[in-house]
Amino acid sequence: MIKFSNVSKVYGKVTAVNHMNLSIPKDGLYCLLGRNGAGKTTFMKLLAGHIAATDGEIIVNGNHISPGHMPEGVNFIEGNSVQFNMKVSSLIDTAAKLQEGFDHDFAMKMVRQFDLNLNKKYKQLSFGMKTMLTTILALANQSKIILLDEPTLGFDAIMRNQFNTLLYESYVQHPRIIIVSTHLIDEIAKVTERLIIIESGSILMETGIEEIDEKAYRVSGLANVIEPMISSLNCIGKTTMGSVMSAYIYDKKRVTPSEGVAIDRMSLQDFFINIVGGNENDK
Amino acid sequence: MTNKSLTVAKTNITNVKLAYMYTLIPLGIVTLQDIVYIILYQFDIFPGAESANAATGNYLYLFLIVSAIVIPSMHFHRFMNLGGKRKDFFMGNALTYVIMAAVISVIGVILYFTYEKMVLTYYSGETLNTLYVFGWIQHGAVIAFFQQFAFLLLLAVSIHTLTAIQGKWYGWVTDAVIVAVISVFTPIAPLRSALVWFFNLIIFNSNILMQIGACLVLSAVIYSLNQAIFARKAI
Repeated sequence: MIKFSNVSKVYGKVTAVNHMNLSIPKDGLYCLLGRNGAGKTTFMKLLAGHIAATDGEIIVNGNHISPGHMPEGVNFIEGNSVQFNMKVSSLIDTAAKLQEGFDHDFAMKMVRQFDLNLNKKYKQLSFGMKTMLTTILALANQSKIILLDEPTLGFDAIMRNQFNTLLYESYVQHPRIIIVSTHLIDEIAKVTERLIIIESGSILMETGIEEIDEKAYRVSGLANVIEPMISSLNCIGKTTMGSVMSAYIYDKKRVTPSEGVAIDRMSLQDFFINIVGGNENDK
Repeated sequence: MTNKSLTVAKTNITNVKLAYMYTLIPLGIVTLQDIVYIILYQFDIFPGAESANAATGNYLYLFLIVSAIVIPSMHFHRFMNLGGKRKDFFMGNALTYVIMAAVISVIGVILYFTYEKMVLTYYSGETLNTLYVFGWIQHGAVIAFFQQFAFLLLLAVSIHTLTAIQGKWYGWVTDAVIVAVISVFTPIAPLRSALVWFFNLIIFNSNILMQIGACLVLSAVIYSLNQAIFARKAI
């Protein structure tokens, strides 16, 4: 459905997306991860046809994408999107009139679930509620591809949990490609199936959450014990405190448990930090 | 025109708060001034005061001008964020300007024959009204409506298009060309006659159909450029 072939996007002297190759062939909830400035938003804007690629080819559902040829079935929403200063109810009604097949019932159900006041004007909402409304409007859209950029900006823990429910309900009701860009990795991992990691404008990894669960783990113990154990494994990062070492492994092979060696599940956050080389201790 | 175009037009018209503000404030001040004059006249203070005010109806032009700036610069992103399509934005804006131009024109004509005629009896001076100054009213109210409507439509789409291209290289080139045309053409007699011909065509034309036709054709040509402008506009 989505294919990026050698796509680059250059802003002046800055290369935001660098020879990116990616293929997303089927529906699913995808989590887009990357450090600040890694190229996540640019990737989404390119995919939505909001900006033109400097080089390469983007194909969505068989159609070449550019600002002159925006894909009909792609809806891109940024968490901090501006909206008309209308009542919440009017914004939903307007979106319903502007979009084919807008799921009004789903939008209203979510508005009630998240206690959004239908009579409040957009500017009267808190930052988190504004983002929530924008996200509801995006998910009620019947587009085959939904791109959500930082949809949990300004959310407290309860709202983030509610958002995950909303995301999952939306996907169950309307299976399609939903790509969510966020920094809150472990929370979103509860509902997403696959992970796309962007680093320096390129796709570093595209894999399933289950695969990471199976292959990613942490081995801790005395450095002189750990080093030989992990020498043949794919070690993505290490931290050392005195003589104690923690090694972050991403490999099908498991180390053999032994005395003085702890083997733990690696959190997605730790996996991400190590895979993008963000573990300062390792340098 | 589809229901989506109507939705865009309705949303545009109800969300141009700046336009309402920039229109209603001066309109309110002028109306207040008229009321004060009339009261003073009743008490024989400053009877028949001199006046060279713009006509009340002409203050509504401000609404159209400010709207034509606000819509392309502020509404585009908001419509896209509501899941709108560029094509609907294009068609809906066209409908918006047609509605605005028609409503302002009809109100302008009604005010000319009612409120302004009444107010003028208290003044010894003239009120400057485009319907009178541009000679549109001499053909009657209905013709004046159409002449004013066509001119306002051209004014709106021109401002809309100029606003839409600001920030782009072709926007700066267009600005420079407009400034150059005005500053170079005005002092040089043969070139000035070209400018005069143009304004005669769209405003002072004695041939009513030609004036209306020229304004509508120019509006359509200028507005059609927006399809390409907004098709490539980054969100």
